[in-house]
Amino acid sequence: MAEQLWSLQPLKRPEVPRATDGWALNPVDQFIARKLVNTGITPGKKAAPSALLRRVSFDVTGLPPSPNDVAAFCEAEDAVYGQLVDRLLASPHFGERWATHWLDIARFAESYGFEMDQPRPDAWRYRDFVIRAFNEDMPYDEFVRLQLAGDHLKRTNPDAWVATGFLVAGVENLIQTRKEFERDRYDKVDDMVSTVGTALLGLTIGCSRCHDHKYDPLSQRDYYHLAAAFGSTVSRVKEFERGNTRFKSFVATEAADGKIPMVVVTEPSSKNLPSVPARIHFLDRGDVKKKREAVSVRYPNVLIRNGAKPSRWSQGSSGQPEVPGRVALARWITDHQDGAGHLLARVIVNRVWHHYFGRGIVATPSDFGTRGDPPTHPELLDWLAGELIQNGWRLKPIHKLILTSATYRQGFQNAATDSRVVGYEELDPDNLLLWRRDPKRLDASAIRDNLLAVSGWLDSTPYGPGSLDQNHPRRSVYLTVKRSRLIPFLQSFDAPNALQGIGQRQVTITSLQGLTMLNSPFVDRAVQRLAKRLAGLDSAGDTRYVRDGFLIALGRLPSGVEERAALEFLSSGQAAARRDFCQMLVCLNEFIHIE
Amino acid sequence: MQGSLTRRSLLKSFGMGLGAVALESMLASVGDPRNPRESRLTHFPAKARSVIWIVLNGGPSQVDTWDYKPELQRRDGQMLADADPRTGFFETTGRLLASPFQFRQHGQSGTWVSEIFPYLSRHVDDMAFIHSCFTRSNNHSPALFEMNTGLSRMGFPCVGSWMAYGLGAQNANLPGFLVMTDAKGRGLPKNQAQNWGAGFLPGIYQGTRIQSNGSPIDNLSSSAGLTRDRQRRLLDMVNKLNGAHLERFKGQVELSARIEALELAFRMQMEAPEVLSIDQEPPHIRTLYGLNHPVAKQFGRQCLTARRMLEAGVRFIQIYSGGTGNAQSWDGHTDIAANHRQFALETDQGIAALLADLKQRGLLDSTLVVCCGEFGRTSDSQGSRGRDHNPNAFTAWFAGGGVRGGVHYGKTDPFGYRTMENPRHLHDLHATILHLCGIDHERLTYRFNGRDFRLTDVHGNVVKEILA
Repeated sequence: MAEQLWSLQPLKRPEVPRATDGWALNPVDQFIARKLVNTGITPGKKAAPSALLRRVSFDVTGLPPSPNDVAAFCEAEDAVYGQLVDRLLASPHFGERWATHWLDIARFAESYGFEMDQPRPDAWRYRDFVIRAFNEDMPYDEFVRLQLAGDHLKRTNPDAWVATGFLVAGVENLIQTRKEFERDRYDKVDDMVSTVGTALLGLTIGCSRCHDHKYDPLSQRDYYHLAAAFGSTVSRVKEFERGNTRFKSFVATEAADGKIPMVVVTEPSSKNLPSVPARIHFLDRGDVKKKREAVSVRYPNVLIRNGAKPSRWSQGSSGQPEVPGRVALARWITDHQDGAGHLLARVIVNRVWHHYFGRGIVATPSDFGTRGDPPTHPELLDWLAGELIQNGWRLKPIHKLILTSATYRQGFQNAATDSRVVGYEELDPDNLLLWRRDPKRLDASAIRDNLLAVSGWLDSTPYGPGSLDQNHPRRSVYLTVKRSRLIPFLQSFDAPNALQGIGQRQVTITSLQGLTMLNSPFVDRAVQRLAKRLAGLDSAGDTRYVRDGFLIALGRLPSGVEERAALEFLSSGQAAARRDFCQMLVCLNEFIHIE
Repeated sequence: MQGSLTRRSLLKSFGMGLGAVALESMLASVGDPRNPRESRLTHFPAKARSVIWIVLNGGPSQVDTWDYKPELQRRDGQMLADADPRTGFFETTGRLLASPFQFRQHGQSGTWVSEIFPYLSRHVDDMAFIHSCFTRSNNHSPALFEMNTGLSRMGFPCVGSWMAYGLGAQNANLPGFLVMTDAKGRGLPKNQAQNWGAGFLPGIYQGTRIQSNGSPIDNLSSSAGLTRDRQRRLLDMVNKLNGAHLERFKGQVELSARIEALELAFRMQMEAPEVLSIDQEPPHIRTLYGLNHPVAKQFGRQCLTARRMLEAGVRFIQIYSGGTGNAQSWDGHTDIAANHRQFALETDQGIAALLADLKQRGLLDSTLVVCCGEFGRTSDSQGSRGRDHNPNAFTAWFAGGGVRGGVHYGKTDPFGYRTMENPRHLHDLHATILHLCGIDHERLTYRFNGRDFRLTDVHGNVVKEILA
């Protein structure tokens, strides 16, 4: 059963179909069009230029377009769209935006969690590593290798060490008792294995900790063999030198002497602390009191191809001993011929797709197992994964393929104005086949950054230490993630709690969100600045004021009806009407949605 | 909303099944005729509609409160024969420590009660005691997780979130799950907001903490000082433009739900302060809750607030006694007598008043009150007068809807050191709480990362012996 699971099969290199002429702009569209045509649906019309510009700006950089962009783009959309995509992908804000998605998956935070939730003041360097890697379009296989084993692979390169922040980003209990110490240690290993499983392979490996599951392609034995790669992995604050500067970072490293010491104890005493051997044992029912034999690093059979021997990944260069377990694991996981690389590629291109369309080709981006959703377009997924590998694992070409497709540039098809839509809604009510573009709510970071950007308050300084103050005007990716003091504004709009990796954020609708937009000091400050910004433009008259307000906040001019209503609102004679008009703009559904 | 457009898929993204009620009632509250009858989707008739859980944070000692042990009193100072040095967090002496408190029998049930609970001793015939509770952890932080979520690791939904998810809101103008923490400024319990986190459940089900100072709910009034009229005018304009926007996206239910949520926020500004304000309570009620007592008044206020929230339809209310630091909670490591006397004085009157007040209003029958800490304490001493953590035995009590009063269930050994009869884990308490609210704990599930999770994991048995 499990061996037949679609996600474990080798990548196919499907022929690009010729399903349509005229509508399709690139191969992506041919795959999409084939299913639509076969279902009897005509692919959708293009989105309005202003809507498309706003969509692509937020999707790629997490920020709104500037009013000048709007004017320029709406005049010559087709001619300049390709250049626009190139420009956005080259923007330093691209890395900031996409790092936010990766940091969710990596359960990244800058504190230890548990009762004291001590800070990890140097952990932000990992966040910067991710932003840089995306901006520089580091090949994805290298990105993965460094996060799993950068400390071994490039011992003299501090950046490679910093990348291992991925492994140790999870919670860690610094107040241990002798009774719980060993269980805590296995929990820590579990956190690493589970995160590697869901983040990189889309497999819920962690489910197999206690027993086999009929539905899981990996067994309990597979779990412990993978866990063995992390047996001696511990977190550490390490000091580095680059040129004349010294700095610290929170990284993974191997424990000394093959022993895991009990961690810092603040009470009752740190005398005679015990340690346990770094070897990982098979645990009956996941219980540390039911230890069986020690296990070595091995890979699940379902993810080994062509009869490859595990030594293929573990052998050192000639005459050298075996490489450390994490290095071998990193080689196996990125090996698209004989190892798990084909799955690695499928998972990441699906994540990219997920963030552009609001739903992946596989709708469960961190679960490619038997209980996840099957792909809606399996051939397209394989084709994209193949493109990724062929492009040397560079992701930006994949972004560009998607962004320049007619599929991405579609608009919403409104049943009120197009009679065919009623029939389409019958055929494909959840729009799985992508015959139209549904509006998508911005995520917490983008909503907050949008407020900063439109009000002219945004401080776009990149990189460096973060801040715990939600009123700090830097982008949300630079706000410190302290597990016990999560940023209320971001929390309110469903930012994750950084306890487990999240590939798909919740989108909730709560009255507390309404209270935030109506009453919070942060929104008030942004609104006041927006009012001031508008007043500073050549907005002497109300009409100009209204038009500039719409253009800046929503990326479009008001319709005639909207303009009249807004003018009536302003002409009420209330002194504060202009300020309230600005708050009205940011409270609109349109402000927090892209279409 | 992940690009979906049907109402069905909207409900699905709210967690399918039972959780849909939350949205239903939200829609219903704005004039939708499909107002769900309460408990419509419970698995069987509910005894309790709401839960108030009082957490004696830090680990109250069973042998100094509800688990009277004459043998322990007699053998003060003697060695505890089979003491396990790994029981506690620190090291204990192995010498038995008699309770410093006098015990007397009360009520028809003849329940032995420690002198530190003079008010609660009058209600023992309404309370059911489970003396054989245990947790797996002897450390505050994981044990608090265990108490709230059933598991000692971070990241799982707590019982209040499961309740809100399972039963939905009774009052759409208020959150379904509210939390109050130490009112004497001693900080949040360890684990902080994670204690009332929704884990992988949708964020709307997380507990909303009512702050002890300042505005009880964040952003409940305009920081810019907007009058209600100005806000109304602003919102009317928002609605006008949102309506036009909605026209362009026919069938997008999420957009209209969001319009309603904003309106609810506006109304909540009205209702929540009203509910949270206890100033209109008559003098005899204020006295009952100890609001004029210098030590008991803060906790008493919280108990009174809990009653008002309950009346307004909040499903699940948790009140924490004690703050962050060990000495600032029921964590009597150095001097059990002084510690427990202090914390009992703070809480006894308020909890007793809550039981009495609910009863006189006829609300006790439909309310479940639960009280316990995250573990118990050792029968042997730590130092000369303290007790260490003891995960192997502690007492929890239930009162109210569907509970048989005056019952004592489960037993510890003659020193109260280990459970002897009918050991019960938190999973069992959780199963019982859900059961009383009409939910089968094995059928309330949520799919996350490919697995159907439930509050009780693969465990849990309802403690039938305390049911009426």
